[in-house]
Amino acid sequence: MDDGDPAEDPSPDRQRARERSFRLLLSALAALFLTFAALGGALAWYDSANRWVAHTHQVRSNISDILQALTDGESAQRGYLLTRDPQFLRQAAASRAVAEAKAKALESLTRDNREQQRRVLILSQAMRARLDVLERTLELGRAGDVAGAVRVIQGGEGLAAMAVVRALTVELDATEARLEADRAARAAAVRALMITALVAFALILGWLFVKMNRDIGLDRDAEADRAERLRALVQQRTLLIDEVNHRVKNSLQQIASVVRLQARALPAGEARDALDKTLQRIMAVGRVHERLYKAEGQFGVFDGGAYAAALAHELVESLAREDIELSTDVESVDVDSRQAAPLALILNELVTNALKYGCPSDRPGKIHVGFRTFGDGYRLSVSDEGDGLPKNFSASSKKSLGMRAIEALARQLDGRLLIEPGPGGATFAVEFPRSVT
Amino acid sequence: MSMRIIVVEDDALIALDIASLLEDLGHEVCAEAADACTAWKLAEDEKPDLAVVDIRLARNTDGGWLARKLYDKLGVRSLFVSGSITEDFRRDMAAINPVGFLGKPVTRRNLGAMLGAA
Repeated sequence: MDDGDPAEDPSPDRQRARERSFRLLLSALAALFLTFAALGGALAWYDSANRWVAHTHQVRSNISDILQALTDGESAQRGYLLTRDPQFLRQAAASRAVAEAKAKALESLTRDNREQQRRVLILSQAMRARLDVLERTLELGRAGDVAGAVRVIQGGEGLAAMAVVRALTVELDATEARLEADRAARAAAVRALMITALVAFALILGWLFVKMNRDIGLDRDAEADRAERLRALVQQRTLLIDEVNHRVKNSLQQIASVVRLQARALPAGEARDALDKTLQRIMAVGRVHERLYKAEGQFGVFDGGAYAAALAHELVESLAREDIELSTDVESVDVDSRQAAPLALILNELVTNALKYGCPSDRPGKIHVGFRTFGDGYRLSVSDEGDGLPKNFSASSKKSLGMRAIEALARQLDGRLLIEPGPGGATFAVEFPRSVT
Repeated sequence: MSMRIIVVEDDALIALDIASLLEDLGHEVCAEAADACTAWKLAEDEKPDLAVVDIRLARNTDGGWLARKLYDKLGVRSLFVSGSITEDFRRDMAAINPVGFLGKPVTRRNLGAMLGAA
């Protein structure tokens, strides 16, 4: 498939590779999206697990606060009974307030766990019993009945309530400690999951980056390869065109050589004149080819004005008549290359005729060649300053080969031949439209 | 000024035509060859004043190589006649002081003008 047109679409193989790579990219993006969502979920989960750990922690600290408040109350009781200092009464009241507030908070904190709620309820009752005993002893103490207060204490009601409180706090705390450990373990698991998801995310991103980089590199290589093939193709075609041009010119030379050799072999006369004319026509076409080829890289355009001037000069000079003055009025315009050869042949005939009939050999002559844009097309004109055309001249009546050729070539150009017979010199003009491509 | 000229052209009829044109112009064609090797041997014997050389010659030989050798060894200048004269070729040959480069087809007038300037 090496000789396929390199400008065509990428090969099916490449097309398939591209599609595969596109599908891969899509799935990678989907994976990225899923990982991202998982990461978000894990984050929310981790947050809630952490909240639960903090909650357990709070429950445990409340339990220890209650115990502390009760112990403080007992200390205040002892202090008051020993010293009768009212500041211990205030301390006892404060401890009670703290204990009750904490108990209330604990009740609401353990609302999620019926087992614990039950324990908290018992704890609260025991706590209140203990506080009531404290209250009673302090009342007795304030009334001056310290002995009565001591009796109440010795009654052991307070101690029993306190024992219940201690037992329950230990139970509650143990349960909460277990919960806390469980919840911490879960939080750790969630954290591990999150880290895994993050690493996956980073890995997918990294892989995507590497893959896209490689794809871009491959694409660049393919482009370079294609550009190289195009360059080679252009070079190959240029060589081909050079070769064809060379052959065309060589063939024209062969034809010209044969005609010239034949003409030389003939004695001066009609036959030799005819061959000379033929040679001249071959050369006119040869010149067109040379000019077309010289417009390097720009095939299909042909400077009509420059060609007209050059051919006219060449034809006039080939006669070796010093007394003929040639003037040109040409515009440099690009004519379609398909119009070049007929234009060249018409010009060749018109100039040859003007030299032959418009420049009598007994006096100096003048020839004027014009080539200009004219309306939507061009006008080629050749004038002489001879005696003008005979009265009965008309292109159709005369029917020399030259005139018939001019008419036919003008038709080929979709143009028309105009004849201004003089006096004071004839003018032949061909007007033809720009070629429609 | 009449010169002794060697014509090196692989197409027989074109060679004949060019030789006739040169004779018409008053020169003497002292040798004709279709390839560079034959041309070199003939030139060594004939010592021409000038060579008219096609670029692509018979047996895949190269007119540029011949012209270079003619100039370097014998001091003979060349007039190139070819259907394909590139700018590169003109630059390559500038060193051997060619008489000129003439595109095909050749007319009597432009051949005469080139030789007149030699």
